Formats: sequence, C-alpha cells, structure tokens
Amino acid sequence: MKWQRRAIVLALALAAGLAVGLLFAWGLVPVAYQNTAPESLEPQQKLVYLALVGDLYAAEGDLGRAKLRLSDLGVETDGSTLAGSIEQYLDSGGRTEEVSNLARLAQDLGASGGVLSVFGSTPKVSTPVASETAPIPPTPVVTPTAGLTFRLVERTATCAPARQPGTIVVRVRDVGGNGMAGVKIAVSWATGQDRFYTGLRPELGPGYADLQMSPGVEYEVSVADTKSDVARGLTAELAAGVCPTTSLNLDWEVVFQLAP
Amino acid sequence: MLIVAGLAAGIGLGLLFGWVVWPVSYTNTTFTNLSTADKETYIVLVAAAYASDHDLEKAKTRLEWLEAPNVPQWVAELIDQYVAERRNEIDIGYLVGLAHALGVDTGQMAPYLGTAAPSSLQDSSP
Repeated sequence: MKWQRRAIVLALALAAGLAVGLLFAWGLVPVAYQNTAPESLEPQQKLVYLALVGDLYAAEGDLGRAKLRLSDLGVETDGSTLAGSIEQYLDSGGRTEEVSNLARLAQDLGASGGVLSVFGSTPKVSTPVASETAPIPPTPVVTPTAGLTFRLVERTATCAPARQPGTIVVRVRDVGGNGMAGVKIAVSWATGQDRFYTGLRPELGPGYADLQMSPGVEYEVSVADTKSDVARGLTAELAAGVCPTTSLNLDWEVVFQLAP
Repeated sequence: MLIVAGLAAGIGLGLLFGWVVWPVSYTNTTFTNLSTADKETYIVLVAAAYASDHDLEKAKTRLEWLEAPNVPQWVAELIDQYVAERRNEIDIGYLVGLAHALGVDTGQMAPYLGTAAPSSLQDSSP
C-alpha cells in the first residue's frame, strides 16, 4: 500500500505543479500583445486594413501587390474568400466606394456573383491623372444622391409561409420600373437601425432586398441617403383569423420607385 | 522529496504546455499592438491611398486606429527616418504629401514639396 500512497502524493504534487506552471504561463506572466502582425488583427480592424488594400488596388491596378498585401493580412487570395469579407464589411457599415474597390479586387481574383454583381462593376474611387477615356461600367450601381426622390408605390402584407418568420421584401425601381441594384436601404426600429443593399440576390432581380423580422418589433423602411418616402408600421404580428392557422407571421413587400 | 519532485515536474509540464504545446495564439489584436515596422508600413499605405484620393478625412480616420498621441509628428519623424535611410523616394513623397496635409512642414520635406506629391500611384509602397 505504501507505493500506492506515494503514487497518489506524486500525482497530487504533479497536478499542483501543473496548476502553478499554467498559472505562471497564462496568469502571472500575462501575454503581452506587442509586435503582432496584421494577420492577427481583430476582424473589424482587419476590415479597415482590407478597405485600404482595396483602395490601393483601385489606384494601382497591381494585382500581384494586392495579393501580397492580402497575404500579409492573412486573407486567402482567392476571390471567394475576399467576397465573404466584403459582405462582412458591408454589414459593418463600410463605405460604398471602398466596398466597390474591394469587389473589383475580388472579381479580378476570380470571384463572381453575390455582392460582387452589385458592387464589382462600379467605377474605381481613385482620381486618375488627366484621363483619356474612362471605361463605362456595364451595369452601373445607382448611388442615390440628395436630388433624387423615391416614392413608396406599394406596401402589401401577405401571410408568411407555414412556420416561417415574417420577412420584409424591398424592391427599388427606376422611373421606368426597372430594378435598381446597389441602392442602400435604411431600416429602423425602436431600439436600433440597419442598412442593407438591393441586388445582393440577383436571381430575385436587381432591385430586390429582404430583411427577416423579429417577433413583436415594428419596422420603418426607406431608401437611405436621399429623399424617400418611409414605409412605417411594418410588423410580423398577425391578427387572428386573417391567415391560415399554419401561418404564424405576416410578410411585407414594399416598393420604392424613383420619382420622375 | 517526492512532493518537491512532483511539484517541479508539474511546473515544468505546465510551462511546457503553456509556452510550447499550446502556445499563445495572437488573435483579435488591434492596430496598437502591431510591430513598429507594420505600423510604419500601414502609415505608408495610408499615405499612398491619400496621394490617390486626396481624401484627408479618410486618411485621418485610418490613422486614428493607431491611437498614437501625435500622428502628424510620427509621420514627420518617419519622413526623417526614410530620408536618412535613403528609402524609396516615392514612398517619401507620399509621406510628405500626407504630413503636409496634416499640417506638418519640416526642412526635410521641402525638396519633396517643391515637386508636387505624386497624383497617381507608382511602383513603390509595400
């Protein structure tokens, strides 16, 4: 039995020593975050750096150098990875021209579709020297200016599919009724607000955007950064007897059209 | 004796695990944690972008991430360093353009301000 007691004492001492060692390594001598590399930046700050890389690519047009900078940031130099980062940047409120520059870079790295179909073909933000003829983008993104006015021409509620949450579908059209991609939509509710863009789901049309509603929240939707009517009182709440019993929520479709 | 040996072995194991087997992985750091060289590279990139778009507010916002007490002074010192080390002239030009826009003018900058800062990016910045 003596060896058993010794083994137990040894195990306990080992465990205590291990605890002391880890305490020292992780606690008493805390990690000093110094001299770190750009690739270790937290996501939001990495996106800031990424936008800078995109701007420089727009100015230089040097894909090799852009790849090197992406590598320094720990971002895979394939377009699809970058496209994912662009969506994050959009969600975090990134500036449209920076998003466009990044989207062009992602396209030149071989990615397509999704957010790139909206922002990838916009003109670059840099100011070129005494330019010759600037290329005309094939499908220009419409960035509303203060002079434009969007009218709310349709506001329709329908029963949401069975057991699905309520959704707000936004469609934005130009004067001629054609869908407008890349239009920033503002949505607000009692405790917050958000921005999103039309055209990120091209299979549903260039002017399409949608937002999933939370139960019990009332939303207001308008076209951002310009004069726009506001669609108010959008809520998923369903009055009894209006929809089939399998439907638990309301969907909304709001259509904004550019005024002539 | 046994306890001392166990403790010593345990501490050794703890340090081994803490420093080698599960080494610290640096994630979610900030611009302020970057190495000086990486911060300087970032400043040069910001200056290069400013040379292209002349958007001073955007450049200032980008520099604010460094949380340095006096960024214009830092840019000026970087110019001195780059000139002394005979670094890339175009990078120096970008830095001079940015420093000048930030309200800093030094003797070192004068020759570069005489020849206007590049209006389009050339083969230089990292």
